[in-house]
Amino acid sequence: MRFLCYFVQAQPEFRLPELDAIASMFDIPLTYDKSEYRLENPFLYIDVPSEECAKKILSRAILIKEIVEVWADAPTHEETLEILRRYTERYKSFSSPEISFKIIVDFFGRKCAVPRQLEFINQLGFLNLEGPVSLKTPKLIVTVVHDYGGDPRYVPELPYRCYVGRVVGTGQRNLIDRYTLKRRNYIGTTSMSAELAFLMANCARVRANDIVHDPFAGTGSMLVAAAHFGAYVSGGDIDPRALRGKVAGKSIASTFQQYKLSSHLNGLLTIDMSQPPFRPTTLFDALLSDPPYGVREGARKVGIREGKALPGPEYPKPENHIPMTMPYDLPEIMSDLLDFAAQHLHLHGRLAYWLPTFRPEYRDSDVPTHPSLTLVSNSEQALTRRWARRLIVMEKTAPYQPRTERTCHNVSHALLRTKLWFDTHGREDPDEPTQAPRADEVETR
Amino acid sequence: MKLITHNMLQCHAKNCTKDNFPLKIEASEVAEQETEFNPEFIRRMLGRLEWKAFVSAAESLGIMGLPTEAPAESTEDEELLQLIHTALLEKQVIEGALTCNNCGHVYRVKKSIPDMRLQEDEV
Repeated sequence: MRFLCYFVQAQPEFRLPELDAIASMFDIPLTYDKSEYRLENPFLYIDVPSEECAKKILSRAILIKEIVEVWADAPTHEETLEILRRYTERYKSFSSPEISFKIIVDFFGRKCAVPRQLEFINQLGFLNLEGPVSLKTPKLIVTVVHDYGGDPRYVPELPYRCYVGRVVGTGQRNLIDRYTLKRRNYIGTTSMSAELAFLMANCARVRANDIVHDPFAGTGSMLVAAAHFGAYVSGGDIDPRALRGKVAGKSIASTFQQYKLSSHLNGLLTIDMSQPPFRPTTLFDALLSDPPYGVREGARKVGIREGKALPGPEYPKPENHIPMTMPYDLPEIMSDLLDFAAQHLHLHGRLAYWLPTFRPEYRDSDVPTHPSLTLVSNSEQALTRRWARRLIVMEKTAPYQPRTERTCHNVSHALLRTKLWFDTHGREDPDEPTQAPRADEVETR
Repeated sequence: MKLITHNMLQCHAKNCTKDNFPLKIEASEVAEQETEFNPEFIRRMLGRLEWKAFVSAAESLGIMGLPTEAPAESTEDEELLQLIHTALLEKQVIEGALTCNNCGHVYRVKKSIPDMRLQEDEV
């Protein structure tokens, strides 16, 4: 069956990866013509076996506004009316005294004044819908969609395309408000927005009763999204204060209480990702992560900093001794993360993580690889003209084989902290004595 | 720390490669927190747990009566699933330590979060 998928005009790079991931999660054979899809345009025809399949996709999608069964599709509104007059069998079955309905007018890229909306609605009187009108709980929603294009600088006089059809259902946009960081009990400077956290859970195909882990959990945003979808989650972080919260009553645990998801929080662990303490077998169905990289939240691992003395030889250490940490280089983090995923994911489990990139130098070959993992999608979210992050989704497609090379430093995200510092301050970081070349001197391959 | 987490952890100190699982639990504070019973999830976990380690960890927290072998995933024994649920997801170590049977390394558990970091001279 053919449906019109009406996306939201947000995060356009992520819309198809999300759609594909959800379809594969439910084993739904999905086809569409990719050549018809444009990032500036939120409309795409999709083919799925049944309306039930479309509804399953809607039950998870965060970037789909609604899915429409199209009754008429034409370049002008008048032509859609003509089609509707001619092909009455497309909607006849919805004309029944039992089927309450409402008609909505939905302009994309332009506003439509209320009197004009009423005009459009009244024009559709010939559909002969017999049911009572219900604005709050209609069984049938007929939508008149006019596409004026997504360019705010040029709004045409007449629409590019007009559609009339039945709304099959809406996506999960309401979750964004329900889980908004604005009302969340515990957040930090790098908490992931609800929209992107749910997107990640979808791309990683997180399902009910899955075991999901985030090795750089921070304040636990992605874990919340996974738990909402019924997964059982755990999070690690090298900083126990982030996990526990620095203020009483504000912690990851309190966030889970706030959303009544506590039953799905398996646990939190203080972990150094360069030395993960898990038994060497498959443990997780999905891994979600936003590894630390910024100037503000630079990554650390346990180790002896350059120029610092070895701590005394006494062992065991006093109980309250906090191990010294040293900078944890981004390519090394990525390499450790991929190897961790390759070892601990179940076969066909997925890893979804953010890779920060320096846009002038980025190449697709910068994305780290692993012999046990296959790249599923790689989509960019621009942060500034020079900085971006990419959502990388990988699937474990072969049993674990240890990585062959440890890290690759010849990538644009190497020395990222230094480059970021240079960008914001116009000079090198005086506190971080390093041999790093300046941003404009970094070798471009 | 719930036992579902404990079941995944092993000692990872340098050169400690055998008999490093499971870590021995020495709890000074234990709590039981009610969580929603989900038999489907418990069944799914049966094949995924290191069963013997789970049983001995449960016993160290005072939960007796678990079978010596993991029940089949198709089990309909609701009472048994409920007992496993309690041991796996409700009983928690709040304060205590996890000790490696092989090298004696001690990992502390504070406010129910195990600290699995090694020391700077051990990595």
